[in-house]
Amino acid sequence: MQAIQVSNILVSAINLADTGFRISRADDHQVSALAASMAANGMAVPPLVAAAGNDTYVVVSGFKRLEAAVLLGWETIPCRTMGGKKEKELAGLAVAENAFQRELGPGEQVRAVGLLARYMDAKQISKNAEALFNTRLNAGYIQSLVRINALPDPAKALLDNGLMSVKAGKSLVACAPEEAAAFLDLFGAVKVSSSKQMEIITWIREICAREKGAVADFCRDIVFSVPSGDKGHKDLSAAGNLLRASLYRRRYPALDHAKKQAMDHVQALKLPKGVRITLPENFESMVYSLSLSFTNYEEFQGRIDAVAKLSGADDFNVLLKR
Amino acid sequence: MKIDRLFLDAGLDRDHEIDYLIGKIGLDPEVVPDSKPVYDLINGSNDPVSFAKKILYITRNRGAVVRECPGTSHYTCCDYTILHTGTFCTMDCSYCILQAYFHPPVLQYFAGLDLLSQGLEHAFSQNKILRIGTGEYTDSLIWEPVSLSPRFLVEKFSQQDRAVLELKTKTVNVDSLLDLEHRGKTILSWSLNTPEIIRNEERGTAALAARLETAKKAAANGYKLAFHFDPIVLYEGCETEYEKVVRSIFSHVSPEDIVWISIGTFRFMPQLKSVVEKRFPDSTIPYGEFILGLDNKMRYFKPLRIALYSRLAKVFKEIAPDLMVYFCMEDQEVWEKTFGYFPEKEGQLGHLLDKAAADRCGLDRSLL
Repeated sequence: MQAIQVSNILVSAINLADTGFRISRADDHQVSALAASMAANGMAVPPLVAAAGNDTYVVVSGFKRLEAAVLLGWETIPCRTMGGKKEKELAGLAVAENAFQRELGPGEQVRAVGLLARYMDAKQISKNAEALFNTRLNAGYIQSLVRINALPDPAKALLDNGLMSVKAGKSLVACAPEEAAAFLDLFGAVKVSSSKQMEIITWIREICAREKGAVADFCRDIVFSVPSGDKGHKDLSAAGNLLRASLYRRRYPALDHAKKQAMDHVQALKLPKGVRITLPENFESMVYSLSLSFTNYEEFQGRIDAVAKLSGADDFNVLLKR
Repeated sequence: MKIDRLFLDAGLDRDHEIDYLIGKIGLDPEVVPDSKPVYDLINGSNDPVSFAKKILYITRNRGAVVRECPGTSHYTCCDYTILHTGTFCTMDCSYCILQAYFHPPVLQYFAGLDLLSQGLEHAFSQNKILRIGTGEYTDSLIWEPVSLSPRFLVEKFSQQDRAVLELKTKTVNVDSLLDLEHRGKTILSWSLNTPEIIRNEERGTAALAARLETAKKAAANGYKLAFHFDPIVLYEGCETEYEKVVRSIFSHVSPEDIVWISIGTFRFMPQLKSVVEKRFPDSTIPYGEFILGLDNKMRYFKPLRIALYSRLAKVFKEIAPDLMVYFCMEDQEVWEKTFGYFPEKEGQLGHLLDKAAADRCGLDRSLL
C-alpha cells in the first residue's frame, strides 16, 4: 500500500493544461460555484497530483478544485501526491477517484475508457471494472466506448450534455468520418431522446440510400434548416421534434399524408371532450375504435348523443371510407 | 450452382439417387455422423449465408415430408401443402427470407425417394384435392440438373388425379422433365419480377426472358403453368415495369396454359432488414414505405399495395379475365379494393384454387 502525502504545492507548478487524466467534463459554471464553496468552507478533499519532474505536477483527479483555486487566486493548494506510480496506475486512480464519488455520465465513461485503453485492452478493463468503475462493465460495451472515444469532437461534449446517447454514438462509429461528423453537428442542434436519435440516424441513412444522396450533405443541409424556438432563442427540444417530423414526412410520405388527412377529418368532427376516435395503427387493420369517458349520467348522455350524430357526418363517412 | 464441399449423412444408405447426385456434382462427399460438423463449419464463417450456398449436405428428412403451409395470422391463406425436399438455395436473392429463417442456413438435399413416395401415397389417399409444392423452403428446381428427384415427383403425380405438384423456380432447369408423361398433374411455375429487380436483387437467377422462354417450352410440352409475382417491389416507375412483365407472359403463353397467378408485395420479418443491409449494401429494398403488419412482418403501407395491385388486376382482367389471380397473404380490404370480392369463408380461397387446378389439370372434380 503506497503512502499518500498531503502537501501544499504552488498552483503555478501544476500543469492544468495537461488534461491527459481528465475524466470529468469542463464546466465553468460548476467551477464558479465550487470556488464560492471553497472560499467559504475551504477544501475538504485535496486534489490528487503526480510529479512530472522539475518540481512540476500533472493533475490526476480534482481538475475543478484546481480551476477553482486559480479562480480564487490561491498561490498554493493542498494536494495529495503518491510517489512512484506508473502512468497505467495513475490512469486507474483517475477513473476510480471519479467513479467512486458518483455514477459517471456517458461522456465521462467514454473518457475513462479511452484513458484506460491506452494501457489495457477491453477484456482487461472489463475484468477490473468493479475496482475501477464501481460497477460491472462487459468487454463488448467497453469496446463500443473505446470506439466512441475515437469519434471526432464534439462527440464527448454531446454525450456530456445529453444531446447524444451511447447507443447513438455506437451507431455512428461505423460511419465514414465525414458522415459521423455531420451527424454530430446535427445532434448539436437538437435535443431528442435516445430512441428518437436512433430514428433520426436510421431515417436519414434510408432517405439518402433511396434518393442516392450523401448522408453528410443531407445532414449539413438539414442542420441549417433546423428551426429556432418560438421565443427567439434556440429551443433544442422543439427543434428536435420539428426535425423528426420533417424527416418522417420525407421517409414515409404516403403514410404521413394519410395520417394528416385522417386527423383533419377527425378534427372536423369536433368531438366533445371525453369522446375519442382511435385510427387503425398505420391503417393496416380495418378497426377503428371509439372511447367514451364520463363522470356522471349527464355527461354520458351528452357524449352518447354526440356519438349518435357521427353517423350523419360527412367527415366521419369519408374517414371510414379512406 | 457451384458446390465447394459436399457432406453426406453417415446414416444414409447409398442408393441410385444418392450415387447419381454425387456423381453429377463431382465431389467426394465427406461423411459426417450428423449435421453438427456442417452447422459448425457454416457458423464459423464470417458470412454464413453466402458460405452456406456452397456447402451441400445430403441427408434425410427427419420431420414430416408433407406438411401444411403455416400461412400467417390476420391475412388470407391459400391452404397450400408443402412437400419438404430440402432447405435453402444456391441462388442469392436480397429479399430472400431464408437468409433470416434458418439459423444457420444449411443447403440440405433430402434424399430418399421412398420417403417421398410414402408421404405422397398417404396424401393421395385423402378424399380431397391437394395443391402440393416443393418451393417453400428452397427453389424447386435448383437440383434438377443433378438429381433424380424432380422427374420422380412428376412421374409420381402423373399416376393419380387428386393432387397437383407445383414446381416453383427462378431457374430454367426443366430439361429432364420436358419429355416426361406428366398427364398434366405437374404445374411448372415461375417466380417473376421486373428486369430491374432481377438484375439488382436476384443474384444467380435466370433472366426474365429466359424464364418466359422456358415456360413457353414447358407449355409446348403440355405442362400447365403458374406464375408468381412475389415479391413485388415498389420503386419509381415499377407500375409500368410490372405491367410490361404481365403483358410479356401472355406474349409467350396462352391464358389457357396458366392455372393461377399470385401477386404479393414484398413483406419480411423485421430481422431480415439487417441481413439485407449487410449482404446487399447497394440494395434499397428495405427502405420502402413499410409498416409493421398485423402478423408482425413489415409490409408496404396498404394504399401503396392496393394501387399497384389494382393496376395489375386491370391488365389481367383485360387480357385474361377468366384466369385465377390471387393474393398470397392479403386481407379483406385489399381483396375488395383490388378484385371487388373477398374469399371470406375459411378455406374459400383454397377452394377457388382447387377448382382452378381441377379444371386445368384434370383432377377429380367430385372431390371439390
